[in-house]
Amino acid sequence: MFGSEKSKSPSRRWKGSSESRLEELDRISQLPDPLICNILSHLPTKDAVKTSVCSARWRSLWLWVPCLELSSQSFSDFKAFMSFGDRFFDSNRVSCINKVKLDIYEDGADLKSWIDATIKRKIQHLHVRCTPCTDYEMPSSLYNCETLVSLKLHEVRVSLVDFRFVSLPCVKTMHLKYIRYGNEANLEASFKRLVSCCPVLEELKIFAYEWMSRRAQVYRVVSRSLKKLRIKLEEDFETLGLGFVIDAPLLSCLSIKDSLSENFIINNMDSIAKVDLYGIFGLDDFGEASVVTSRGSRIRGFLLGISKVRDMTICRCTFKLICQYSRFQPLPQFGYMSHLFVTLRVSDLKSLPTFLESCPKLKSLILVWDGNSKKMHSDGDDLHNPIIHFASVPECLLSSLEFVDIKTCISGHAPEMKVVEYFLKNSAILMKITLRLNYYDCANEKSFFKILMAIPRRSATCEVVVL
Amino acid sequence: FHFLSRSQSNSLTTTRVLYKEIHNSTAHYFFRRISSLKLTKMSKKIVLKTSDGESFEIDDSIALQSETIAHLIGDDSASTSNGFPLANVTSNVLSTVIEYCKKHASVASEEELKKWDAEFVKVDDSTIFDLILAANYLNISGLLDLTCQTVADKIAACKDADEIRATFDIENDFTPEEEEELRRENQWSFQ
Repeated sequence: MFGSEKSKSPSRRWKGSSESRLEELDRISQLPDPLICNILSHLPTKDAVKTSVCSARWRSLWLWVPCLELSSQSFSDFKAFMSFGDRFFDSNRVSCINKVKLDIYEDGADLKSWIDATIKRKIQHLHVRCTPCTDYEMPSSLYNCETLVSLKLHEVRVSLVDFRFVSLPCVKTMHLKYIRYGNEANLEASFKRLVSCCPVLEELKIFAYEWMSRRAQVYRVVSRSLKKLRIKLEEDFETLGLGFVIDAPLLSCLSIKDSLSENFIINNMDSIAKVDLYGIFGLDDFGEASVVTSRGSRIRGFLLGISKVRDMTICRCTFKLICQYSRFQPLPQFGYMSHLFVTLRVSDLKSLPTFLESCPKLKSLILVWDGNSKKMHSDGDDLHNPIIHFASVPECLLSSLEFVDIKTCISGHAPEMKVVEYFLKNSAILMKITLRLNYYDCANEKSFFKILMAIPRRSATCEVVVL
Repeated sequence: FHFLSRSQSNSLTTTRVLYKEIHNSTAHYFFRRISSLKLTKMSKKIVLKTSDGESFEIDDSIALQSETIAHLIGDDSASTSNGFPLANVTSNVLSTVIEYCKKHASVASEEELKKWDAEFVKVDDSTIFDLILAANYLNISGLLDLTCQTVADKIAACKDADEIRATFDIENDFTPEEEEELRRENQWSFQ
């Protein structure tokens, strides 16, 4: 069972017959090897290796643990890391490996043969993380691994030389972060092939630098099974935008951090139930002139496309853009949206009612504004130019809004209380409003609570929670 | 007036109620009677016999959490007139395991189960090891994961191998030279 790792057993350890020897062993060492390995697999590799000096029984047990989590930084020098990896991934070893997580900060390790070994040993979860300074390439055996369920690659090179042999029948989760594809001419084809050869792919994350391509490249995501997609592009307005074409009929969660350039096309958005927007459609500001441009119609198309979402998360830039857009064009009705998480600038707070008008069935609202904004901290309020002024009360406040959660810590200043007041006064069926008090900054807690309790509540059953 | 009929199927007791004419007052009486009737589900009972001769009768929904028992149930030749024999499990361990299975078969939120699990594993080491062996033999993955994680947490809480040895009473059978060599070999882990 120990293979090349023979444990020494000098005669002094044999106390009489083997049966009584077993009884004299402590309980944990009495457990059969697979159970001890099961216990050690719940530990980070570093701790599991510590047990090797407990007794001769434990000397090599950690090597049989089917999980490995290794970072080259936790070794005193890189050579030690390399020899450790060589030992663990020795080609003579055949025990099954379940999970491997490697963080490699320097060049020089024989990563290709390590990964080859894991594939032979039926790996299920592989997570390889390198740095921009290293240049490791994945072995081609990776692309037809039959047992792989989750593949997470960060800053490595992927070259699909021969497309005939790409098949990942069990991969459900794939994260491709800052991957360099073999050669640029190959990028589009390699990527498309990699994604479409995973018949049960459910979750895909793509992080990329926009400047990684010299000419406009298009990532084609074609998958019949994909449910969750997250795209994050590090923007660079100088270069041509990376394009995306997404064809995933079962897609239900979409998260985009991208400039949403003109080359971002999503076919069939009907299935999308949850969306997380951090994109500004390649625009800094939306003015009247933008309406008739292609960008304007793209925003319109996109908003119409996601009009059936049930859960939306939106960042301040996108919110600002949508508010500006809504001044020139009507927003589509988000008739199914029941949950909204919006981060916005203080100056955009006044546009919140307009946005909420297009969410008639909103049940739960999470609100975040800039906690350091000086505007919110002033106690005096200019009547002619109030900081916070809500012009209208949207339908959802009257008929469907049940939960409000203000994640920004407030200190009890007048503008902040005005926001709280707006919800308490107008929400007819509000069940719970959650606030967070900045205890350090709040001048007078008692008066804060007094003011809070004094606000008239339209909903009789409303619970006010202060964290 | 109304009449009540009850039909019994394999594992379910159903109460079918038919009524012709209900007057308001009889309706009241009628509905009160219904609420006092217990709608019981006739579930199959499984008898398990431990290595020390005790018998435990439990619902099949609880017993089926053990894959080993599930296979035994499917295999006709396995059951004797006294129930299914479990050669490797003693009665006090089995009763603890049944406690776990009962809780995890009941309707409870994930948070509640987590809290309950945390309390469940606050027992002495010997019991934990008994539970590990039983969960392994009975193939109850949730219990096996829970107990192994508990032991793993104990190991992780130890600063070094000496503490691990002390916690679990492991005898150090290395010579000082052997130990030194091993520490050098796996030096990175001891930093």
